[in-house]
Formats: sequence, C-alpha cells, structure tokens
Amino acid sequence: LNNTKSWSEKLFYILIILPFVVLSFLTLGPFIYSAYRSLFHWVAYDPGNIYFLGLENYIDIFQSRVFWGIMGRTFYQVSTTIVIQLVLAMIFALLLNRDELFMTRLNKKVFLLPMMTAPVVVSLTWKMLLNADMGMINYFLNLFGIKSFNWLASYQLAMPSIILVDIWRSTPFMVIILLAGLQSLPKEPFEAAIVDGAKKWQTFRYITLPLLAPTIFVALLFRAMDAFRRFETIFIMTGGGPGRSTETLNVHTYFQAFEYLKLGYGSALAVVLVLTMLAIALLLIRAFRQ
Amino acid sequence: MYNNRLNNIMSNIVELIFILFFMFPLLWLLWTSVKEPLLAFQMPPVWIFKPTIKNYLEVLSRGPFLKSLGNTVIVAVGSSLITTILAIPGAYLLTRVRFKGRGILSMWTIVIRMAPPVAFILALYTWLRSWGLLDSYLGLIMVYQIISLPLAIWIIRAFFLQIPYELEEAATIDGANKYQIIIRVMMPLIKPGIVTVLILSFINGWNEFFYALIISGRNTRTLPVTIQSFVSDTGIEWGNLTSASIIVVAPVLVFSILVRKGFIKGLAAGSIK
Repeated sequence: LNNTKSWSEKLFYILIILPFVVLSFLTLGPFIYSAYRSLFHWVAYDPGNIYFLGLENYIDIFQSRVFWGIMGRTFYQVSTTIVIQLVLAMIFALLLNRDELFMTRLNKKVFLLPMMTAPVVVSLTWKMLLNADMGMINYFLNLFGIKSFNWLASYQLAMPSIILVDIWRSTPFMVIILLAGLQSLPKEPFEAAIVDGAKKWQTFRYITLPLLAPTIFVALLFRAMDAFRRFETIFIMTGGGPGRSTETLNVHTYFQAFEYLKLGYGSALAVVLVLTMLAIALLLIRAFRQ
Repeated sequence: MYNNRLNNIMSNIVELIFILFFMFPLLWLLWTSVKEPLLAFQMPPVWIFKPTIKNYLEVLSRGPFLKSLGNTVIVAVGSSLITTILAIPGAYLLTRVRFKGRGILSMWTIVIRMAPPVAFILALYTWLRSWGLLDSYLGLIMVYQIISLPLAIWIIRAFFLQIPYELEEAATIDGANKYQIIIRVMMPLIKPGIVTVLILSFINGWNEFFYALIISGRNTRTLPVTIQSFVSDTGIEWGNLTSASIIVVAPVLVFSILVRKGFIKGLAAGSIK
C-alpha cells in the first residue's frame, strides 16, 4: 500500500512539473540551440557545409550599416507606438471608468474587438483602407479637400502607417490594464481631494497618476515588448518596404533566415534581438525603480 | 450642475470618436464583404446597395479555403485543450507547492510570453523537420503552447490564489488525495477561469500567423496563412478577401463578446498581480 501511495505521489509531482518542462523544451532549448548555431557558418541551401566561425556573425552584424539603420527604425517604431498609445489608452480608460456615461456602457461591449481580430485580417483590412487609389482613408481626406497620399509606398509615410495600425490593434490591451489599475485604486485620497476642493486636473496629476504609476509601468513594459515583436502588420502591409523603411529588427531577422536562408547569421540576429529586448526591459525596470 | 452636464456631453463625444476609430475598419470590412464584387472598390464608394452573399458563397466553394478552415479548427481546438490541461497542474505548482525559486519560475513564464517567436523558430523548424513533424497538426499544436501556455498558467494561477486554503485542508482531512482535491474541489471553483483559458487559447491558435507561416505546409495550412495568399492570387478581388476575412474573425469576435468579463479579469490578472 505504501508503495502505491509513493508511486502516485511521484506521478503527481511529475504532472505538475511537466508544463514547465514542455515550455523549457519549446523555448529555452531552441534559444540555446540558436545561440550555439549563431557561432557557425550555416546556410540552408548548403546544409553539408557547416563550420565554426566564432563571433564572426556578430562582428558582421555590428559592422553592417543596414543593421544600425534597422535598429534606429525599430526604436523609432517601438517608442512612438507606446507613447502615443499610452496617452490614448489613458484618456480612454478614464472615460471607461465612468459607468454613468451612456457611451461607456456601449463602448465596454465592443472596445476589445480590434485586439481579438486576427492580426492578418487587421493588416489586410488596413492595407485596403490605406490603398492609394481606392482606399477609404484617402477618400475621407479628399472630402476635406486634402490630396491623396500613397501611404504604404512612401518612405515618409509607410512607418507612421504601420504605427497607426499597431495603435489601432493593441490600444485595447493597454486600456484593459489601465482600467484594472484604476478600479483597484483606494477611494480615500480622492474623497480627501474633493473635500479640499481640488480641480479635476489636479486630482489626476497629483493623485491618480502617482498611484497608477506601477500599472502604467507594467502596461508600457508589455506593450514595448509586444511592439518589438510586431510582424504581421509589416510583413503583410509593406513587406519591410519601400526600400527598407519599415524593416524592423524582428522582420529583418525573419528575412535573413527564411528568405535569404542565412540560418547562422539569422540565429545571431535572433540572439541580438532577444538581448536588446532584455536590455530595454531591464532599463525600464530600473528607470521605474528610481 | 450645468458644468457637469457639459462635461458629460464632451466625454460622450470623445468616446464616440474612439468607438468610430476602433470600429470603423471592422464595419467597413463587413460592409464591403456584402457588396457586389464590382462595386467593392468603386470610388467614390457606393453607400446604398442591395447586400449579397455572393462573395461568401464564392469563397466557401473553394477547396483550399475549406481545407484550411478545417485545419484551423483542428489546430485551435487541439492546442487549446492541451494548454488548459497543462495549465492547471502548472498553476498548482506555482501556488500550492513551496520551493526555492518559485518566484523566478513565475517570472520566467511571463518572460516567455514577451519573447519574440523568431528567437525559437530557427531551432524549432530544424528540429520539427528532422522529426518529420513539419506540416503536421501535432507540430503546430506543440509550438502553439509557446504562445498560449504561459498566459494560461498565469490566469489559472490568479484564480487558484483566490481559493481559501482551508477548503483543501478540509478535503485532506476527509481523506481526499491531491488528484481529487484538484479535480473535485479546486476545478469546480474556478470554472470561469478554465473557460477563459480555453477560449483565449483557442483564439491564440485560430489567429496565429508567424509560426504557421513557417511550419505549416500544404496539408495543414491555417486560415491566416491562406487568406494572406489571397492577395497575390486574386489581385484586387476585395469582395472575396473581405468575406474570407469576416469568416476568419466572426467566430472570434462573437466569442470575445460572450466571455468579455472573465476575459478582462484574466488578462488583467496575467499582467498586474
């Protein structure tokens, strides 16, 4: 009897550890494998010819002008997206927190939908909306007497268009987090502020904002990491173009590995991407602590 | 009083602007999908027309589209079931077993949720190929655990944390073993959490594009990959493209309206607590 009990106990521990074994096997394992392979010359069209290079792939990356251009664009894309998004999401969350408003009751039912829509559909829809000749965006602009733009084919406008779509798609996520934060704030400081006759703006600036800081930080962190990985919008709407004007580090890595089939070089880029994201996350955490 | 009413009107207007911005693309998609194919991209747009389901019939009569609809159902349902089955014991470990490094393990799960897929895909592609699992349902379902399982564990974990420990103690005294405690005591208490996880993982699998683009193939191609190839196949057939898009998003949007509350709670739990 004792034996069967310990046997079932052991099985129990195996079962509760299993999910993490699965996750390690699917993520940690592949990442270590990529990091190892990034030290090799390894191209898909010549699989027999793999040899050790040391850090040469990394040296190639850091000496490449293309790479630094891509880094710059990636940072531009990520920072612009999350800053605009934070402002919009904050306004929206404050409004959604007021249940007495008629529109709030309506909005709460539907505001999640952009986030749930398949990214591919989001990208295709916006590609049609932003179409130069037949798109609705240009049509509306024309109604106001503004001339048409070739949004996705222009060096200046392609990246802002990508950013616009990302804002459209993922602002609801930020709203959810901020709203949850707003609803968990203590009531007392706000009551005290009303007694003291504080103006709405003052209440927001000196009470809501400081109390909400941890939530804002979490929202920014999640969204920054998410913006770094943005793939579908760019891949489908512009394919990284025109030129390389919308090619971010994530998309660049995909192209190097799966279009140009440079697997070793692509692995090195993937490692650089992960380390960059880690560094940004740590910097954000540190900035927040201070 | 007057000031307050003005404020409410302004707030409602701002919310209306938000809702127009967020809903317009989806409404346009629906609207274009029921236009006659030739009307679809006429400029200026035709506002009044007789709706037609021609585009839907055309899309649904295509063999490859139906095949990938079936593929997507199989992969999304399969990965969602496996995610949920794994998430419950995983969350149990994170909430009920004391050990060194539990905090680190929890954090690591979140880190995976934020990691870029491109960091894993090179190795996964190579491995799946050598095991003959490229272009297979099993391969896709396995890989989708990366996107669904971490969040699922966090959501179940948040629900487990709300169960008072005394309930389990009482059950132990009554002679229940650990399996029985999880299945008979804890799981019934967190039904909303389990439903959220099932649906959320289903949606993740249904919408996923990046991994499917690389590791699915002719036999297992899912809808997102298929409709993306519509663009080049059909030139500017907006009618087909929009109706196919509606077929892809409709089930998900209906689901997400149905489970909105549990969903918001789950997502917030996954990121705040």
